[in-house]
Amino acid sequence: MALEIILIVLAVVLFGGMFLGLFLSYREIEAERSKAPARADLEPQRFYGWSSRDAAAVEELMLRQIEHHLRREAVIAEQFIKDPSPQTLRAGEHSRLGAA
Amino acid sequence: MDASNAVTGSSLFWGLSARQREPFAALARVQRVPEDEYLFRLGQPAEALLIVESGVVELTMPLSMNGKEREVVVQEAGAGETIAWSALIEPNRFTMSARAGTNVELLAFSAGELQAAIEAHPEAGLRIVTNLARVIARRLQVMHAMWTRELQRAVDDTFGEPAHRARG
Repeated sequence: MALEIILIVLAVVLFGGMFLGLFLSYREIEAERSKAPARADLEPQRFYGWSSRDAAAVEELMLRQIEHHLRREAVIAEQFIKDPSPQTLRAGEHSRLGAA
Repeated sequence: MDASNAVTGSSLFWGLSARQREPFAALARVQRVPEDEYLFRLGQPAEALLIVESGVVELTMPLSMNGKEREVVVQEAGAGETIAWSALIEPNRFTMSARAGTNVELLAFSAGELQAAIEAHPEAGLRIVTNLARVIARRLQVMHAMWTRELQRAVDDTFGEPAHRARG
């Protein structure tokens, strides 16, 4: 009888320890996971992450990106003028300036 | 360069006979502008209408980037196209800047002389003014469509789920 009690106590301690260990490690992982989106919101990687490059080069790349966007928009606008409809007006509107 | 031939291929004089074009071709002055040099700047008085004879002219607008003002190309004009029409439209000041994207040859028409010729030759003048209206209308339509598209994006971003995200 005493042996059974000792085994039960050992099992409780063992499973309790496992549960406590897993709970603590998951809490750390979950805390890291919940932080990640907040960091992304604070530091958006705009213009394909060009912010890590030389400032003058970044400015030129931004300028080229803007002009490319305007050219593409002008071509779509010309197509709309040839065939005016809500569909041609909204063609490719998901493509946005600086979007990856 | 023969101004008469250049005038023939331009959008402004489209639909005119050779005889009708003559008095207008006589007004044209040839201008050559090297690459990267500005033809005119936003806000300057517009005194002459220009037709691109060869090369590419870039029409630009100022945009603030990282606290610095940069000229962004919003439209390009090639051979035969009419630019600087602010010379004929009040308040006769440029609403864009223009620089030579390549070495450029242009025909320049003094606004005063061109208006006088239009009044002296009303039949040809009506055609020219109609062609000019077509050039201006085209610019307006393109800009209107582009503005509407950007407004739609602003509406999506501000008030609702953007269409491309909703589609997944």
